Amino acid sequence: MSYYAGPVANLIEELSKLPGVGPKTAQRLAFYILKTAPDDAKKLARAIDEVKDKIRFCEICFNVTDQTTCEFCRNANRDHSVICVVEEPRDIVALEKTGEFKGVYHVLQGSISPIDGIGPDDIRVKELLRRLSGNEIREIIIATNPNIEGEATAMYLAKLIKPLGVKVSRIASGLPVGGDLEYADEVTLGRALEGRREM
Amino acid sequence: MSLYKTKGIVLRTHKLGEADRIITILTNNYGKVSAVAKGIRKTKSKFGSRLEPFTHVDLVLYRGRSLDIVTQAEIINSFSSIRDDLDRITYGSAMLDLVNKVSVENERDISLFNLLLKGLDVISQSSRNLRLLLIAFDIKLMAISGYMPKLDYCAVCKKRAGAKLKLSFEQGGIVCNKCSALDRNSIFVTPAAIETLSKLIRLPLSDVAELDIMARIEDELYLLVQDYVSYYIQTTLKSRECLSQLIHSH
Repeated sequence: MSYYAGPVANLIEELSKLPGVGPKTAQRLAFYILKTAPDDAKKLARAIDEVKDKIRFCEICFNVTDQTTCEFCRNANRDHSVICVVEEPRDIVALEKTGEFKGVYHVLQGSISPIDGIGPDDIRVKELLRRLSGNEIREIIIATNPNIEGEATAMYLAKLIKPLGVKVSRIASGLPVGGDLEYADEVTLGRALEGRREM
Repeated sequence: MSLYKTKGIVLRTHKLGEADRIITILTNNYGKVSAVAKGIRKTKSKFGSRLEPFTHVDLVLYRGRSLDIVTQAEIINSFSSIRDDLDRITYGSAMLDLVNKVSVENERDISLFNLLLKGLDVISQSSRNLRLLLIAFDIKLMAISGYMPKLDYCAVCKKRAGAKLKLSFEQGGIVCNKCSALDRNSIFVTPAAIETLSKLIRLPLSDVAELDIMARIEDELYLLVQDYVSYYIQTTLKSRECLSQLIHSH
């Protein structure tokens, strides 16, 4: 049986469904919400409501957006002939923070994972190929994660896209800035050596 | 105190929380172990690539209450030539997936460990015959797990089977025409396929890579062995379902 009144127990149960939130944290959050001003609590409820209501995927690149296309795809000042392929919308934010990339994106919404049975048909590969036909695309930059799934995805895309005569590049991998060489693992250090550049 | 050392092969990883992963490892002396690698998804994690699938690692683990925690990892062999090739990743993943399904926690199985190590080693060095290697790996794994198919004589009446061969999963081997009535699900097999299958069981994996098998027989054996494996492990392997998607589409 529940020790809390129905609505409170209900709120706790819903909150505990969130990632990283256990029953104790859920209780704490529920009582915090209970104590806050009614306006603040309503704002939270509205924000959740709005995000589910208004946010959808960009028709071109499958980033999250509140319009039919995302801000990058709409922006005429960006270079629409270079597409950077990422796994998740959050990766776009990371890349944007660098300020180094002025092209547009394509979000795969996942990665190929042979061991989990996730193949190319389960992510937005077809949609990427559709973008390549008809449009003037100079280069595809593959910025999937440097783990086994990301590498598998990158190799698959390269095999598929290269024959179309489009330049395909992969973001470099190597040592993180600010780290020590002696702690680098063999694979990373090997890649860093392989991708060295003349000074 | 409750630290322990072991060597193992990383079978798979799952995301956990914000930056952690649960790593599933086949160890050489503790069977399958699941352990948390804290902060591994951060770019500057001390683990780097050391706990990526396929990696043969030297580990120090801390015995936790529910899950163990990886405290140190050193690469013995990264099998980087597997991760640099999509076909090798695909067939290698199929091996890892099967081993993950059959291995048991806290149950030492050195022959399984050695088979996997050999399997990854051979795949990392071959560019041809990867599917045949997987077939051989599968049937060898079944054999060391106690499901060695009887291929010399009828599994029921022990007599030499005639020309019309059938394979019965239920009876664990080939059955003669008469005994095949016992298992309505028994399937016809060609003598050439059976002969090749026993060759695959007998030969070391490194020799399998050199074999020249007719495509027709390999196709037959592939389907046969996939079904044989699914029958005994009583589940289908997800890694095998997307195999055709990844291999035949390019």
